Amino acid sequence: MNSHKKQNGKIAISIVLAVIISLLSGLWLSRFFDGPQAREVSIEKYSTRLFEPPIPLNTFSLLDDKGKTFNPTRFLGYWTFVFFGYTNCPDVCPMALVDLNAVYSNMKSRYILGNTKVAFVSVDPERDSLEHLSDYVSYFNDDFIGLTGTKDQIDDFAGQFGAMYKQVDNEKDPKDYLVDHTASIMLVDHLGRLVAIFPPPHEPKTIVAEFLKLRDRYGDGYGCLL
Amino acid sequence: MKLLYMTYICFILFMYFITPAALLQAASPLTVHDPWVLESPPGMKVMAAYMNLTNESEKDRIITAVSSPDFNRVEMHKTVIDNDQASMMKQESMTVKAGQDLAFQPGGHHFMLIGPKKPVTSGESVAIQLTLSSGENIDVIAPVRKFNEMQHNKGEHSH
Repeated sequence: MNSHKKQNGKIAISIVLAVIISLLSGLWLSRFFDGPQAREVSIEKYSTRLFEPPIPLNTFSLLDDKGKTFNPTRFLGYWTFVFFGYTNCPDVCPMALVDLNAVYSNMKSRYILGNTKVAFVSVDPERDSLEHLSDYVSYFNDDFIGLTGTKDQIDDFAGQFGAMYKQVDNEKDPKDYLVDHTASIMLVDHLGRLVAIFPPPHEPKTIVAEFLKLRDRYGDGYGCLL
Repeated sequence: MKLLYMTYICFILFMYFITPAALLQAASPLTVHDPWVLESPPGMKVMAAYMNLTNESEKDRIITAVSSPDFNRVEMHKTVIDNDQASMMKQESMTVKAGQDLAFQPGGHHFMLIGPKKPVTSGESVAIQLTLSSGENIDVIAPVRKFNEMQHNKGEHSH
């Protein structure tokens, strides 16, 4: 009888040991099946390009999305953020306008917007009609201005910012071309001068902080309207 | 006999705990996290879809085609910013390496959805199918979000 009980005891212990070992093995193996770990995304050091002294913009002529001429005098008395893009751009352009909207809304909510404007310049006048451009721009913010022109007019204007753009053909469908373009946000002061360029990646809060410093430095331009 | 019996029990118990973990691995070649589509302004012909892909297997997984019943065609693109000049490079295939993630995020890779068959707005969802080189298909349902509904607003990140 005794040896029988001893045998049962041994079996019981073995089973318990087996369960413990299996549980521990299972737990150890499950480490390899965890979901993706939270990743640290490293963003390159943000660096604004400042122009000291600011560069006056020469004669140019564009059309705004209401069909009115947009020439250098339209910059006077305002601080204007300028971005070059096109409406058939699914990633960079919408995101830049989202960032610009964040900048604009941040200042508006703090009652420090003042005479700030945002202009989106289409480098694709073939497909971006004035009406199309107006719909696109106002989707992000009603106050934003759309600008475009003939290829020569755009070249004239973009060149002064060092902004480049190039059509990339699509063999499958000639209407579906892409346009490579400068992804920086430009800043023009109330005297119509290029003051700063904010290269990507864009951080709205940093842009606001840097903008406020520049506006303090060069004046808000209200005096010029008199 | 007893030894054999005990070994057998150990083996059964071991398999009981190990198998579910092994099955998990074999279930899907790629796991998709947080897929979403950025709503475009009305009348636009292109939209971008984003998502994070995780390859928990031991083989590289290669996406060779993408399609959607809601769009005429879908392409994979890589946004390249070189000296502040942005360009989009169409990718014929994209590889998610074994044990690694591949993120399709604004400013990086994205799925370009071209030619919506009907207006696609915030609150709706877009069906996207990824086809792998192995022939397997992965179906993704991506909710459409307006820019002010994006979960990862860049403005919120402070560095």
